[in-house]
Amino acid sequence: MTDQDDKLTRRYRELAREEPGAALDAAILAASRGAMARPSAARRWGAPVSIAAVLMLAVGVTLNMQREQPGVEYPETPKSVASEYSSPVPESSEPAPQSVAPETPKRQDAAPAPSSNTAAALERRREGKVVASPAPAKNAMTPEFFAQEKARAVVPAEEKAPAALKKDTGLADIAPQRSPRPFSVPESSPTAPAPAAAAAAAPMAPQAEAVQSRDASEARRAGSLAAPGAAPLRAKREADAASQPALRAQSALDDPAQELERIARLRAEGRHADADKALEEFRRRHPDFRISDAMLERVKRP
Amino acid sequence: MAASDEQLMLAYAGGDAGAFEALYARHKGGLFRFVQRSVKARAEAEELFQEIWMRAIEARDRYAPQAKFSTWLYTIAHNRLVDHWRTRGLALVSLDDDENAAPEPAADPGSEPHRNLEARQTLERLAAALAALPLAQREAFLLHHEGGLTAAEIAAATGSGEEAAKSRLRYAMNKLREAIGDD
Repeated sequence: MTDQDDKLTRRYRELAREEPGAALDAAILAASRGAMARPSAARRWGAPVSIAAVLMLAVGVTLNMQREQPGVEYPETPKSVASEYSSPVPESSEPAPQSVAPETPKRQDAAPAPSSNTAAALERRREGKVVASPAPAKNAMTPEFFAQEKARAVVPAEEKAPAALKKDTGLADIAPQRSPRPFSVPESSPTAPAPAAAAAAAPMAPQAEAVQSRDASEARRAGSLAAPGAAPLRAKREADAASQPALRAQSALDDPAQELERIARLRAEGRHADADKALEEFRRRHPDFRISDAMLERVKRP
Repeated sequence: MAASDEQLMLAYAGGDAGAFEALYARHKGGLFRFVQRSVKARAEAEELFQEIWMRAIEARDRYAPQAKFSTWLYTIAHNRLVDHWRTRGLALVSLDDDENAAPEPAADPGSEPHRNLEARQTLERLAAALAALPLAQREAFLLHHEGGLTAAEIAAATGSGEEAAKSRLRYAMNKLREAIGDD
């Protein structure tokens, strides 16, 4: 700072001596003391606002965790359940919806940590109240059904894990639990699992055993509830399979041309008695069928 | 050893009302003159002066000694004066070519007290020259002489560049020296 600056400053100091009034001083000092008595806005609202924010955050996180709890199976729509479950049934003449009701609890069995709703449904199922499900089928409680259920439920430890491991995802131990095995999988389809797959499936073995034990107990209960005269499903299937040749023969009888061809073969083989008998039967079944001359030469007794 | 302004302000923020009284005693004169010479009318200056201190009191919890207390206090004063000028349709911050800025009309010499003739004449010339300064130059001069702020601190308090603050201060002092016959 130069001498000229110093001189200007001195002159300015000589001229500028104004001060605020005493009343103004008192008012400002009183305001400063009054501010000490009452907390500032930040202090007054800081704690309540912080507590409210923490509570809202905690509630939000809790609700979000409940909504997105991992491993919880949510009931699927009945349409998808029916579409998955109806595939093995069609060859049976029994009504298809018979197995829709037991399927939903079956899915809940696969969930490792069921939610409150699924847990309640599971508990009801353990108590034998599954009959009260929305669409119970009367003949779904047959011993055959539960025997099949049991046979399928035993498979998961051997079958689910390899199927999941084939998906080459990092969720191999989760996917089988979240994706229930569809009933359309043939019973004979699973092959012996590889050792690695069996080792991977080992952690799920207790769960499969639990499912198996529950299904076994249900099968026992169902057996006591089932009608005594109900025909075994497997026996019916076997009977159906045995009747296939007869059915095919019946269909051949229904075709006149084939029947005439069969009679012609009998005649050519010299089994004239059988050929005459078959021809007589043919006339009786197809009285208005016109046999061509060439065929007539072949089927008539020479 | 007396406590610094920053220590006093922190003590006041911590609940020591006596610290504020000491702080107020140190800065009330310079701040009052800074305000009064910016607005000229005493009543208006007293109102602004009180509001500036009230703002400082309310902002005590947010005070952080990152700069001198005087810089922080005069920043509050500058912002309050800007608001004051805005209500009157004036701009406090002038252009860089402050030399060519239109001067404020001279103050009425008759309104200033004068104890003797020479003192009165000096007062009138200096006061007239100070009042005639452009707003930004006058503010820079008052911040330097009343608040004790350096050019860098003036720049920080007014939100301008340091070179601009230096320029304004230099222009203001040259004009005032000419007014009192010291050039």
